[in-house]
Order: sequence, then C-alpha cells, then structure tokens
Amino acid sequence: MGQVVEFLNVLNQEPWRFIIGAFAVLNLVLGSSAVLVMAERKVAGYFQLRFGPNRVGPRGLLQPLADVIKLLTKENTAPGRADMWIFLAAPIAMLLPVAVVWMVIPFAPETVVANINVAILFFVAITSVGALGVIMAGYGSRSNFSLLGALRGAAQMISYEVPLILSLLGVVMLTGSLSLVDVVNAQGGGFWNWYLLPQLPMFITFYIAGLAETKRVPFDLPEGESEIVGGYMIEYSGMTWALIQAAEFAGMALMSAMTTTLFLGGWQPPIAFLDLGQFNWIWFAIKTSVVIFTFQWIRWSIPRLRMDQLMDLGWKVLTPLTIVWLVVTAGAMLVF
Amino acid sequence: MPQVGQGILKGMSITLRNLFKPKITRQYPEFKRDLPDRTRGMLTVDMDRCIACLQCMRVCPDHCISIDQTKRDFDGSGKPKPFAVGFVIDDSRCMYCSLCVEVCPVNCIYHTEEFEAQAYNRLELARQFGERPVDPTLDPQPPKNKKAATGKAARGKGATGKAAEDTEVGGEKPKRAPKKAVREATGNGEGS
Ligand code: SF4
Ligand code: SF4
Repeated sequence: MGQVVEFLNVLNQEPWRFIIGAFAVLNLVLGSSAVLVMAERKVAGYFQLRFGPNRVGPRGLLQPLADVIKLLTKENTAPGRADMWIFLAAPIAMLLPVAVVWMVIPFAPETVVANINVAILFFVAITSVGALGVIMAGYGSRSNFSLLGALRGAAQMISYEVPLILSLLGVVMLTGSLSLVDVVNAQGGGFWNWYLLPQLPMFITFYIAGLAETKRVPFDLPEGESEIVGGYMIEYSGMTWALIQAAEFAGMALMSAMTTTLFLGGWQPPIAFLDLGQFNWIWFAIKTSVVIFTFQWIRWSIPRLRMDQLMDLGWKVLTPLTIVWLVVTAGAMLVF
Repeated sequence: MPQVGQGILKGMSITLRNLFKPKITRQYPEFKRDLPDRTRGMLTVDMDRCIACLQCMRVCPDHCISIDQTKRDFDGSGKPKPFAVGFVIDDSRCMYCSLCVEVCPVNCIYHTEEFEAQAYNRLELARQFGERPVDPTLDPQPPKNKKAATGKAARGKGATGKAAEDTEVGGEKPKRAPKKAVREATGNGEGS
C-alpha cells in the first residue's frame, strides 16, 4: 500500500505529471471529437424527426468506433500538384493548437495539466494558430476552391478574434489574474457569483465569437456547397480529413469548455452544498455538455450568414459592444 | 430593436420541440411498406408458357434478354415449334421500361415485387431460366435470316398487329447488331 502511494506521489511530480497529463488530454481530444461527431449526427437526426445513427451497437452507440475504423482504412488521396508538405502538415497545424490549449483548462480543483499564470493569454495566442492551418490547407491543395474557402475562413477567424479577445478582458479585469484556476476560484459559492450575470453582453459576444472561431453554423462560411463545395478541406480524404474534422469538433469542445470556465463557473457547483470535492469535474462536464448542445442546437436551426453580414456582425456589433461593456465594467469597478 | 433575434428564437423553439416529438422515420429492413399496384420490380419469366417468339428480346432497348431458341416437335405433328431452351434476363442492364412485358403475346414475362437487387458481381444479377444457361454478356443477336423467316411464320397472325411497333423499335436497336442483320431486319419489317 505504501509503495503504491509512493508511486502515485512520484507520478504527481514533474515531469511525469506533465507527460501523463498531456497524454490524457490528447486522448480526451481525439476521443471526444469522435464521440462528438456521433452526438452531432444524433442531435441533427432528432431535430429533424429522424433517429440518426442507430445500427452499430445499442442505439448506435458504437458508431464512433465504426467511423474511426472506416476512416483509418480509407485511402489517402492528394491532388497531383499539391504542395505535399504543406498539404500534410495542415491538419496537424489545425489539431495541435486545439489539443494544446486543453492543458490549461481546469477540470476540477487541482486537476489541470499546467497551471500557468498566463493561461488566458496562452489560450488566445495558441487558438489563433488555427487560422494558419486553414490557410495552409487551402494553399497546399492547389485548388481554387480550397484557396477561396481558406481565405474566407481566415478572414472570418481573424475578424472574430478581436471581439473574442476583448470579451475576455472583462473577466480578466474582475478577477485580476490571467490564470484560469484563479478565474474559476473567483466564481465560487453559487451561481450568482458566476461571471455570466455581470458580464452578460461579454458572455454573448464570447459565445458568438466562439461559434465563428470554430467555423460552425451560422458562421460556417469556409464551406459552401453552392460556390466552393467543401472549402479548404475539399481535397482531403481518409485520415487527413478525419484530423481536420477532429480539429473542428475538438475546437467546439474547447470553446464550450472555455465558455464554461470563464463565464459559467468552471467546476464550481451551482449551489454550495452540491460540492462534490474531487468529483467536481462532473459539474464541469455537465456545463460543457450543455454548451456543446446549444452549439449543436444552433447549428441545426439557423441558416448560414452571408459574408458581408458576417463581417458586419463582427466589426459593427460585437466589437463596439465589447468595448462599451469594458468601459462599463471599469466604471463599476471604480465605483464599488 | 425588440424584433432582433425573434426569428432565431422562433426557429430554435421549433427545433427544440422536434427534439421531443416522436420520430417519423420508418426503419427500412424491419419495416417494409406495401408496394403500390403495378410495381416494376425485377423481371421473371414463366418458361412453361413462353412460346420463344423472341419479341421481348428484340424490343428490349438495353439488350437485357438473351434467348437460346431451338425447335422441338412437341405433338408429333411433324411441325416443329420454337422452344426456348435457355432464357436469361440481365437485371443489371434493365431500366424497367416494361416494353418486354407489353410486347409478350402470352403474358409470360412479368415484373415481380422484388426490388432489392444487390450483388458483388454484376453478372450475379443475370437471372437464368430454362434448361441451358445462356451467356448474359453477349448481346442478343437477331436470329439468322432463315430462322427469322421461319420464326416469323411460326409467330403467325397474333403478332402481325404489332408489326408497326416492331419496326419502330427495330430501327434503333440494331446499332450493335451486325450490319447484314440490320438490313434484313428492317427489310422484314417493311415487307410485312
Ligand atoms: S423492362 Fe425494358 S429494359 Fe428491362 S428487360 Fe424489359 S424491355 Fe428490356
Ligand atoms: S415475348 Fe414472351 S413468349 Fe415471346 S419469347 Fe419473350 S417471354 Fe417468351
């Protein structure tokens, strides 16, 4: 028994803690994106009075496994004149930032792979790399449709980066720290302490910008069946395509987790007596799942925006809104 | 300003209500709905009644049907009658136009209600009837001049009414057939 505890203590030291954590997070990202694909199909089916996948396993629950096997055995094709290195590196450049950011997200008290004190800055800096992956995919494919889709995607992602970052600032100001653990700790003691209420406009902005960042409906302009077909991923197939898809779904999960952490109290229980101690990750999971569900709900209810409407919303509505609310927050902090 | 977002909320409430409604999907392999009358499924032929008149084979625009025809003296009258020893319908080519069904003088070729045609090899879809298998990959050839003449005679009066149709279809059909046979076939049509 004593040996086991000692062993666990060793595992809790750096660098073992970091290695195990990184491995676990990578598995979480890939596994969750596989499950999310199935969840997406199920939700879409239910919204449209269908059943969704229901053939593999009980009620279709083994569908992710079947999908993964299918994608692994599929042939990888590439355009003959594609820029091979860029073409193959693009899916990695999309997935890796998303996977890396998971390491700063606190799942439960003390359950965070790397508790760095600039976690929010890290999040902002690393997620911006996703736009690079999109550009690489579009450019490397040597296809006009891909390039158009990539440029549209990059324009959208860069535009929405601005309101996304500005909407984080309110939380940072209220907490007085860039560490996500501090942010969650500051929201303890019941749901009235969550940043959702004082920062409601910021929450809405962050949510909409997050939708746009993850390229989901109504902001999925990088794709477009009528004009650019599959967008930047039109030339991908098999596992490279699966990686891009995994990056998108993991990005959605990441945005939901960030929304939860920043505005919905992270792992904090809604009312103090529901505290589960080390099992508070259940609260984190519930809140994240609800946010993911709203993402999916929006996706299957709302039509796609036009490009100019998209830009208008980003620059003329969300950005001014966040700036105004920053001033309001600063004023309120001065007064109280 | 109060109208902003109302459309979105309306749409989202509809989808949310759909989430809890009973689903209307019918699960196909478990649930099979009744097929409508006159469904055109895969073809089958009743070999006992077929008089080997070859009309279906000739009329078929896709060359699905190949018939191996001989003559047999059934009733000992010394007048041999045409008989189909082999009959193949290649369902992988069929477009279910039903021309062969319409043209058959004894109504022995007909559509079944079977529609689940699937196979790993295209030729598995070719259905063989009769005593002797026929190679379904060969395009059916119009019978040689002599045979055609006798066949026409054996067909008798019943088919003369359809001669006009025959010629029409015969006009487009022989693209694949040998040129000599084409000339003869059209010549026959004009003659009758
Ligand atoms: S249905 Fe039409 S295509 Fe099919 S065998 Fe009959 S004539 Fe040929
Ligand atoms: S038309 Fe009818 S009777 Fe004549 S060969 Fe075809 S199936 Fe037989």
